[in-house]
Amino acid sequence: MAETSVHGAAGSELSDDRWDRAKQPLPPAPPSPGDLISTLPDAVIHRIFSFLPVQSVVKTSVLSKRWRSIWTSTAGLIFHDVLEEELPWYTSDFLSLVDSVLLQSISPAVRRFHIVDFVREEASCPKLDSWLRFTAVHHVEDLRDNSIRWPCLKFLLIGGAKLSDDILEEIVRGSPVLESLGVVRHDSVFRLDGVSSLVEAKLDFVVPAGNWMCCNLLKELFEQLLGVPTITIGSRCLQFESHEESKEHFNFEREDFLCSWKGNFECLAKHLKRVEIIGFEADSFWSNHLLALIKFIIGDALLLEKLIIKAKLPTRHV
Amino acid sequence: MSSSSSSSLPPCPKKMITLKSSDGETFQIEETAALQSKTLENMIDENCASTPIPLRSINGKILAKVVEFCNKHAEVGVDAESLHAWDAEFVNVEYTTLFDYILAANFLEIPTLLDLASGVVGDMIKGKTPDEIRKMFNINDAFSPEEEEEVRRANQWAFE
Repeated sequence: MAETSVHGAAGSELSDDRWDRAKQPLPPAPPSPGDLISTLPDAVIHRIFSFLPVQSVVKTSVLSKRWRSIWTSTAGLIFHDVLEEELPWYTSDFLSLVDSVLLQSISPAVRRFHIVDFVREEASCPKLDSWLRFTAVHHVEDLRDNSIRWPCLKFLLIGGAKLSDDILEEIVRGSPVLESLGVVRHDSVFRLDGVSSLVEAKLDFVVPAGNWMCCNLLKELFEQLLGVPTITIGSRCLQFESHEESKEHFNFEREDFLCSWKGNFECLAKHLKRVEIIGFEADSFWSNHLLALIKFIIGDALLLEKLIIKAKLPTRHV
Repeated sequence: MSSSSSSSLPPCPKKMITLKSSDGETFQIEETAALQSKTLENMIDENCASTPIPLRSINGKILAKVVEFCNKHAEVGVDAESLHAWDAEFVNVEYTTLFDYILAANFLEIPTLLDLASGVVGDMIKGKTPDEIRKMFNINDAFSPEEEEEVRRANQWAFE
């Protein structure tokens, strides 16, 4: 270019000037690439939104005219409560915040709805139910009945929320294309029907010790999930067999417990390909339980291809 | 019981398809790798992939990277951790390139690449003030101060 043939003072001034500019905190390279992000199609911007908490998403409304209302049609509503607790608004008025967002949201097709680490008070329980109902009704043209229908919902993650079991059942029933359901830190077992579209389920909830009814419900739940290709079960789901006080009513030794389930595992025997046991405490007490589990898995899973065990080694105290 | 899944399958000849970038470069990609793209999958299904497929919106530099991405993700026996590390390196690029990846992945419908690149842009936005975001991405067509105030007021909580 022209600059290369310039010698002497003018040339060095030019490069000094560049050097100064480089020191300034301006992220983009000198030849300005223009406003690339605003030219992305809405669908792609919504994709980016799906990685952001709702506050960041709503904040984009102020960026420019182009951005003012893109967020209102986003298909993902991701609410975090305590995760960003340094922000006072999250805890102070989370409830009305969700209300406000839902009211403004005009998305015709909510695909993703996350409520994570949501408030732990009884008082907010009906609120959550009403949001779910509201969102559902809001996007459905037919308002005659009040049942939940999310024709496009594909991903649902609910964590640590106090949620009535009926509503969960209703959501699943009303979401014919739901592919991924995550229920974590839930405090009871629930029923599910019509989960034929699911390809992934993640369950981690506490099963009250020695509660026969819960145990049966859990059994039922697993039966309902038999056709789902990927199921992740958290440790708390399987923890309850170690509670001592319930042993006289129900033998919760792991091996017997699993054996009593053999009937239910017939399908599993034909499909289970990969087992991962993660974060296992490798001490002698738990190793016995693990051995029983492995014996069970290896003995029965005909198609098993991979068994991965990632153990935590015990810290030795001298 | 079924015994159909034996290991003595005959080696399948690798089927290749050819992609042509906007600047005329051509790239060969195995059909199995190309199937990660819904757009290419449809073309293969409709038997439109026997001649070089012209991709007028993707230049050679980006298409080379997209092919590399698809090849990597079609490899067998790569464990999740090393693939994750590979992905992170793949998107460790200038943001202009990142947007090229996004547009290419959007056009070719490669969800893994689209999510990967969109996720990085999401991380760039997360926690930034509107001013910082505007500067970072050269967003112009700003509101007048009055208009901006109005928009802020509509969702005051998000700006506190």
